[in-house]
Amino acid sequence: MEIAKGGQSYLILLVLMNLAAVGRVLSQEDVSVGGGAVSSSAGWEEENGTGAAPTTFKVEGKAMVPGLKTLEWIGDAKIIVDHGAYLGFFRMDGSFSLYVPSGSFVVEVVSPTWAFEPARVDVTAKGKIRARKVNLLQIQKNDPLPYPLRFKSKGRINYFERREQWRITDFLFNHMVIMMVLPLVLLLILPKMINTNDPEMQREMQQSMNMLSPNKDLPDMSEFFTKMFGGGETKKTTTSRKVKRRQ
Amino acid sequence: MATTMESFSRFCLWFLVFLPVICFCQVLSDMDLPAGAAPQPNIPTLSVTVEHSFDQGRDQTFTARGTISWKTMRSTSGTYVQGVPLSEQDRDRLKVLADAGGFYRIRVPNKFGLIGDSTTDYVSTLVRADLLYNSCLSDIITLNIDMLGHIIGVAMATVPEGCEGDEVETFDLSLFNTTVEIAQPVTGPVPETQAYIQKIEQERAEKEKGQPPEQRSFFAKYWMYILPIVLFLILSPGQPEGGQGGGGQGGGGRGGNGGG
Amino acid sequence: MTGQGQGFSLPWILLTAALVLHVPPTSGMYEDQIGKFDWHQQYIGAVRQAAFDQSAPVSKRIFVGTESNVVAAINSRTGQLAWRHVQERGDPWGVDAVLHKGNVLVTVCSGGDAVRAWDPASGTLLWEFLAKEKNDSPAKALLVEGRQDERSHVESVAVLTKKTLRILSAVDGHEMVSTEVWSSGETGGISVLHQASNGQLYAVSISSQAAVQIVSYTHVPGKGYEAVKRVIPAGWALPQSTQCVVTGDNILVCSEASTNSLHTISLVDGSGFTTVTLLSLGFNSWQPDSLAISAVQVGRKEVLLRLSQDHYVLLQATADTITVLKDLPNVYATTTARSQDRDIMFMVKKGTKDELVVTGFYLQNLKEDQALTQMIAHPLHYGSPQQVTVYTFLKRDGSTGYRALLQMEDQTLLMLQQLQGNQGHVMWQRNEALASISAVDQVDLPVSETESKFEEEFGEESEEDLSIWQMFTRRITTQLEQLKDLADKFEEYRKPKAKQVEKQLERDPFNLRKMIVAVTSAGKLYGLDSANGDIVWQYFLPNIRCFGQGEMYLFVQRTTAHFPHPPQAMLVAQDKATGNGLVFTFNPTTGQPVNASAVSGILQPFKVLQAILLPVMNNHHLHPVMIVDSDHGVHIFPPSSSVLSVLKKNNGKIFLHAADLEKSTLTGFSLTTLKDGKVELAQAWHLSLPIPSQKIVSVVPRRANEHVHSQGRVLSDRSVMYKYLNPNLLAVMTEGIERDIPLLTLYLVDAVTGQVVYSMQHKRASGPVHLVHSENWVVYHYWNGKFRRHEVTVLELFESQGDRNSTTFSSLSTQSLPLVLQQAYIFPMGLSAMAVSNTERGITARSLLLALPNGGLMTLPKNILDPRRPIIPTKQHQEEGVYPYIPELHVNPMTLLTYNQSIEGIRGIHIGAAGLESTSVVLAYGLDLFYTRIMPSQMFDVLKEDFDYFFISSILLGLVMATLITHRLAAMKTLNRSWR
Repeated sequence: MEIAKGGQSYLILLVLMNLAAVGRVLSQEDVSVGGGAVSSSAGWEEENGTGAAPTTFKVEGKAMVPGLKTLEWIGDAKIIVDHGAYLGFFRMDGSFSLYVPSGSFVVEVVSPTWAFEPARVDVTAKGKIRARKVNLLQIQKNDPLPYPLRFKSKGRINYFERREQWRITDFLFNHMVIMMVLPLVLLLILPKMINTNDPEMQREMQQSMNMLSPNKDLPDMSEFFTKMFGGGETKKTTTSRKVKRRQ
Repeated sequence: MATTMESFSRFCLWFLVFLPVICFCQVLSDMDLPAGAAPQPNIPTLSVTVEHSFDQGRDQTFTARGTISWKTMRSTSGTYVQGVPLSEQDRDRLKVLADAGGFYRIRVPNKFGLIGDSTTDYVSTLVRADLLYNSCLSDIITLNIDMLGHIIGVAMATVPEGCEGDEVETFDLSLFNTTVEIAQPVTGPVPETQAYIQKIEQERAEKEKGQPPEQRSFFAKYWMYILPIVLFLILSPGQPEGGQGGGGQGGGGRGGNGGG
Repeated sequence: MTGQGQGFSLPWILLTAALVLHVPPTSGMYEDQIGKFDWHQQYIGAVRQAAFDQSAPVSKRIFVGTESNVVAAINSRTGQLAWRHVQERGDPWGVDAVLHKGNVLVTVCSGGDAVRAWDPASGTLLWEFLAKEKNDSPAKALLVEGRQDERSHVESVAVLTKKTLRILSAVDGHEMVSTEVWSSGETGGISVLHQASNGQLYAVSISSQAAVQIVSYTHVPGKGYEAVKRVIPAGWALPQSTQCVVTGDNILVCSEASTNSLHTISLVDGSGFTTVTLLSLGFNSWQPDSLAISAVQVGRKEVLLRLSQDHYVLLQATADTITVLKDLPNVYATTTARSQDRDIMFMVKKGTKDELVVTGFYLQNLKEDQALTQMIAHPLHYGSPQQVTVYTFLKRDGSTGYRALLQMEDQTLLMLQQLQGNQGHVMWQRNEALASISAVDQVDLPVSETESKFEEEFGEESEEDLSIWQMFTRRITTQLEQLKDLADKFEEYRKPKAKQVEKQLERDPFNLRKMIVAVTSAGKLYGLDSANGDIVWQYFLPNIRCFGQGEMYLFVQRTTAHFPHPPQAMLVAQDKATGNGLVFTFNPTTGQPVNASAVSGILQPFKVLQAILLPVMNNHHLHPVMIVDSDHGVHIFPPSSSVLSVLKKNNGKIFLHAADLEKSTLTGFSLTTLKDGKVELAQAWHLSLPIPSQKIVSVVPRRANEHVHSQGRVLSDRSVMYKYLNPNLLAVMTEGIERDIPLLTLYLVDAVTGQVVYSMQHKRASGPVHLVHSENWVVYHYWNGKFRRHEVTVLELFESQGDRNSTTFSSLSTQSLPLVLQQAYIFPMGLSAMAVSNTERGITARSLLLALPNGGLMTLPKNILDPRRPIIPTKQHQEEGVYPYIPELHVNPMTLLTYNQSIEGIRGIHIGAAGLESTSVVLAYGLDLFYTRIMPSQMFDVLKEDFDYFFISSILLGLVMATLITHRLAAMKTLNRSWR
């Protein structure tokens, strides 16, 4: 049982590998058509080997928060590459530079207040650099970003839930409350508005009441119910007949 | 005197019964080995010696118990061949161990090859001696190996229903009835991105086709509005204004409901 | 009539019901909860370099570089951090140099690979220089000064690494000169960088070939630097025991510890060393280990020689003589500062009693100035002073005032200020040892006085030998005392006492307040109040250090639950000098050693392989600690006979395991008691993992005594999947390279039989792996090298054959393997630590805590990581409450417990269970400390703190009123009607 399961997942893995390979070829074509010279090996290189002499390349960029001076937000912001593998600090003008070996990296601006979109940077063994959007689902998808990197804040990060404030209007315009309060109001206030002491009025009401004819009204109600709760045609007729007989 | 004669004769009988089994096993293993060795010539034999010990405490001496062999690197089961039957001395030690609540241990070298030397590292495990005793030496040995053929670990389980009859006699216990299982690591899961993307694209295609959103029935949607009205209608005793008429109304309503 | 009443009240009932149901689901925290349950302490680690700010006229800041790779500015008045930058990590020695002069602040990190200049005021980066080499030894650096318009100013920064000398412009950091210092094949050992007063630079190094190499660099305008190299034979020079300094008049002075001699030479034109032995200088006692030489100040001719931990001597060196200027006994640390054109040497001395004395003398005439002396009390828990930095200023009366920054042996920073009459005053202190916690636990506080009286009365020891009358009188007296307590409390409430005696910490009703016991790698023990992070007690063990993997063992042997007995904890660490084990027992709520005669622990005659808390108790409710030595011998603490008898009872039932990370083997042992009462370990099982493809990186057992409330999972067809709850299961993670492909392998191993329950491999995956193991599941986070992303895999284990139909699990009689469900997810970030929540009874759903690289601490409900999440959900899945599968997990800022704070360098997360089932208390530690509470299933057992008492009571009151009024109205109406 378990082994069969293992076999299955193995198969899936094989399929995935094939698909990924297709994506790889495509992305390579994309790049060559677009005029960039990034070799396809970017993104497929293993972690840089420790044995070989490390050659690093300079990756540059700039970040900004719309409406703020640089010094107002860079105090607690920094740049991290691959979630902490490399580190960068902002200069006075919001620019930064990083030194990374060849490979593919995720570059993020980390700020506790301002949200930034990360970027993926591919560096070839020759030191050619391109930037694209981070897509973890389809790793080879190429949504190019400008290089040198430009980070623009999407806005403030919201860490907090809004406290549910109790307002009387919220309560009153709640549909449940309206459903119940409205009939209640009608029930209590309407009779008060009609002058019950006026005999003419009383008679009129009596008449209208008789017109409404509660005894005739009832079968309709039950018919309504039977329709609602799934009665067939036959049932309907029998019930209405029954009621009529009682009358 | 008579009892020893009897036990001896019984032993002979058992031996006769088991002889063909042993022969068969040996034939099987002879057949297996070349077959297993053929497809992978770089690994000479896929077999290891199993050793066991009845010792407790820090110093444990292991003696040969039998051989486990299997066909290919991808086999999930193997065969066990016992070299020599359990000696009377060992049987007694097992009995003593079982009564004392001790452990029976086995070990296997961590690489292929029949015999180990002093540098060999062994993998080992233990099992409660009384469980082994009460199962009449019926056990399952599981070897965990990796793709390159290292033996990572060994596990042993007993088969409680391995015995026939209620009482276990010590002299019955000379041959192990062993099943061998071989286990390899399975491949770990990967995020199912492809299937998910397919699903998303399918959903998008469906949306573009312009399928209307799923329709719920009127009551399913608005029950929360209808229910209070209905409840209210049923439970309200009528307008206070109606006086007797109202009372009649209510009564009629209930009557009607009851009739329906 | 009654019918009418119903007609009125029913809508009201419905109305209130609707109100109660209309409560929105919440998960994150509210803005007004900031700081209510959480606190955050920022640290920088043990300070290596410190410099007072010179850029502002009134010095307010201290720039420091620390062992934890932090560059920071501390406000010198308050001790608060003005700014802080954590540099690239990975260097054991921390920051190489902090250079500060005028407006220039330059730091050198990573063995000289990273040179950065900062704006002293804001801490913003001005320029940086990153070298492409990987240096693995500390670099030397200095600010090169040039003269312009008769004023000296910082021209450039010189950095001497293992291989090269680099001169960088102080303006923009561009590389002006880069030369290979050592000829090929030779490696520099100890090196010294020096700038002579004429501007010439000297790089001195002692090579392993018993020679000293001196390279001088002369600046030639327009041409760069011209190098002249000299090699001087020095047969005495051993790189590991030699230290060298250069005096102000270019004399190189070296001390050599193995021959106990000093050697001098002129850097400018010397051709051979002059050797002077310490004996010939008239010293007769010194410690070769602590022999160290240091220059007094750039420009001065004196050198300072440390003979032992608290003995210095001031020397004057020329090219061929060394003379003793002043003997400085009982001095821990010295520094030099300039005030009113006089150089003052400040010293931290041992006082006549147990106090510390800071005093100074003028270097011109070697006369002590009593006005500079100050004295402070010297608590033992600081250890001895290690380093001192002084800042001088002119007082209003024209005399010299100063502030001294002291770094103590326990890594505490003390800021001293002189008060009237030689009285010293500690302005502030920073407990920087807390940046390097290596073991931590959260201990329950003792119960309050009244409750402990109950314990006293009903505790088991008092029951037997009391007659019924005695018990009765006792009951009465206790009740009277309780009454008195109540009266006292009332009195206290009526008029709060002004004096408010420091109250003994006691447990709160929900056991939310704990004592955090933290053991740091510096050997300092702290007890922190979890309510606010204040230090309740501290204790210093100067002679301990961590074991090889950076760990120490901290066990709570007895909790506060056994009232008459005080709680007890044990620390097992390594002795600094011998490497043997050291055992220290103490009371975790007060920090007092249990054994008054062993105030610095008891040194053991063996090396520790493993230490575990045994799951049995002796008759004093004490869990014994078992230490296994490197020869697999067993030692029990405390070694009493009652423990042995308990162990004998459990003979063959206690198993333990040990992993050999080097050989990549895992061995199980069973604990057996011999007839003569000795305890020994017998090997039970052994696993051998191949190297280099499977090197063990972590072995994670389930938490001991973990409560699991629900035994199974109900499916939509009303059948049950029973959880495989093996308390002996270990998750073993290995990492390695197989056929040039990185490989991760996970084994689930039964710790009693050594059975591999499950094994799984990820190809092209690598660490760092973070793994948690709880209940019947394992979650781990790793790097998928193929897709270049982090992934999280979850495994859940279920019984393969229905219900086991027994309440206890025995590894020895269990035969069947579990059914394993697994799934993988993409996680958008790396992690620095991972943990799982833990509550008292295990009813609350579990939640994972993830420490993110940006300093956030995130909660992730475990049911998001459910291996049964389907890609295409069916109705059954909906009914079970299983979410549809989405491969990518997202970081929602609302799930960050830390909101907009960054917790730097989290290394571990400790989770304790509170008395409330819904709540766990969380301590994240690393460089910073962060403490908060989590409620993974919301607060289900207490009212929310924003519960609207006013609203509820007004509604209730309104209802009562309405009932009364309508009743009255109805009565009036009936009366009216009957009159009609």
